[in-house]
Amino acid sequence: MPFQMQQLGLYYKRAFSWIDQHRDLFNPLQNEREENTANLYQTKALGELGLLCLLYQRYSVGDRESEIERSLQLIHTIWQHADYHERIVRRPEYFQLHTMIYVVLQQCAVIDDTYKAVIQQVLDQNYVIATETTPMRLLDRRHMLDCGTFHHSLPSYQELYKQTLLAHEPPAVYLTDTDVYAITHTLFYITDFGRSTTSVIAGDHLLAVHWLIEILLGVYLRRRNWDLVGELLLDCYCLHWYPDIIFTVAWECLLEAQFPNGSIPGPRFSVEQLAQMQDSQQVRYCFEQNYHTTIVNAITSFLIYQDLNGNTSENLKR
Amino acid sequence: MESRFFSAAQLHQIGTRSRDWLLALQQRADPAAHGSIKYTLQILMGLWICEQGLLNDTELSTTRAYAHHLDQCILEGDNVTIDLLSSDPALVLFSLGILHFFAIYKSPLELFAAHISKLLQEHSDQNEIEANELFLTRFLLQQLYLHAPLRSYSLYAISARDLLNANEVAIRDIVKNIAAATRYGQTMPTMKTEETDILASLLPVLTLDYFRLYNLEIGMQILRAMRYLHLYEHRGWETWLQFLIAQQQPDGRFGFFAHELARLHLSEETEQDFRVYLPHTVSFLWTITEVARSQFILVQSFN
Repeated sequence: MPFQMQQLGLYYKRAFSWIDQHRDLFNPLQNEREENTANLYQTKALGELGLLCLLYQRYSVGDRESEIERSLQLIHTIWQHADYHERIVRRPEYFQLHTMIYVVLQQCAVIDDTYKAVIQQVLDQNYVIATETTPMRLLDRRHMLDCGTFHHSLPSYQELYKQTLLAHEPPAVYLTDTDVYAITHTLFYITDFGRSTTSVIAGDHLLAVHWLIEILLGVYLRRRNWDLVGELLLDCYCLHWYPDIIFTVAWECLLEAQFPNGSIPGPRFSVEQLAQMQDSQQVRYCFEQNYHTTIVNAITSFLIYQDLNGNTSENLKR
Repeated sequence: MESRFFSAAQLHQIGTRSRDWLLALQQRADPAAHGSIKYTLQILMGLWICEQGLLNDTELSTTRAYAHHLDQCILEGDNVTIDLLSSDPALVLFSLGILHFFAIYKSPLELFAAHISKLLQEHSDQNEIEANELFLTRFLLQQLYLHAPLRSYSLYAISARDLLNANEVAIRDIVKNIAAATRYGQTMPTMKTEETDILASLLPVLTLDYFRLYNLEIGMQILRAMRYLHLYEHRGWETWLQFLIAQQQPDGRFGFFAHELARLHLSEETEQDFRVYLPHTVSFLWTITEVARSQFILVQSFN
């Protein structure tokens, strides 16, 4: 492989560093006056930060890296606010966003499972499970509930997968960005982020999935959409399959796209727009535009680095 | 006529629809009156591909009738000579090949071909880009016995990164190079495995990207280049061809270009047909025919 593993290691460490330096901006409680939508937006960002910690934890032996440790401390501090964790009970329409925080902390052994019974009571009322959403989001829901070992009545992964866009092997020529996000996320959940092999993606269907991921990776590399490039590479990790040529080019490009501060520009980030802002606005703008892409690529580079170095995730079976 | 990717019924429908549209177009408006002989010759080329390539019509009755119509009514006079000088030489030479097939010999076209032949025999290509650019013209001249045997052309060695980031200009050059180096699929140049892998892996990406942008012309050029390299194993073929077929309108025109036409401020229907639909329809027919019939090479099909 032409790129150096060392570079991949530095790449994720720089991304971790940017996330660490901006961790206060992930805090949905930092400004109580903010409107509900901003608060939810940051809760989503916090959930993604939590996902990074959760997936990191799967490879962790011994002490966690300091950036991850501090992120978990932040998440824990927020969780400790009663008005935050009670949202699971009081605002079940946002159940998944908030329960994710519990799952992360519990899985990373930061909290015990005392609050699990409360969450289970919410689930048992049959609202959360019954709400309508897309097949990919149902997979997401099931995946999170399984990670938290909750009891639920959702259909099996196989049943849910059959309804997804990816299962239908859609013609790539018509796929929108939203469709591609649906595809990348379907693979995250159906494989438990690469931890389990799944019988529903096998044989000729597996070849079709490989083909789709590879060609979409090429298209989004051409578009310099580092967000979807990162997600599609994460799919490669989930399938433990790395297409020779495009995989190497993708990493060469991603290494170049990373800013010196460790962040990776999101699809709507604009240097021109940034230049027109005051300093105080710039930090916020960069965070809002780039945090997701940076987290995605931090996760992807970390996991691939571990995989290619022969490190195995603990508990390989779901 | 079944083929790997198409049913006989599909090919027949594509061919008849296109032929009907081309005929209706030339009956509705005199192509030569719309600024250039180019449109006249594009219709001839389109009819030829329909009947010779897609419909396998040994009589070639429509193309024959149209060629004789050109012989008697259009391809005469000083205006034609002037028009030819501003036309695409490859289109003129290809049309000349079709006319020869029907034993039609028109002085202005013969003189034009001889003139181009003389120019190119005396011309040394400045670089590889120019050589690729002129390959089709030289190839057609050779088919018309107006050019010495062609030298061999080597295939570019392109890095994966450069190919992936190639813009439209670069891609046009690359597909011309592939056509030249393979002589439209008749020879396979010596290539390292890595170079083959790069083309096999990334040409499909470029095809998909241009089809998603609805730049059908570039997408079809890349598809033809893949065909010349015998890259048939890619899973995308079936999808792309079904996509292309879905772009043919019920009346036979190829493409749904209302968006582009609005931007070009082309409101007059005949102008739209000649300037936008006609070249795309011919390119579509070319692509479908060469993919459907592995032995068919359009640019030497008149011999």
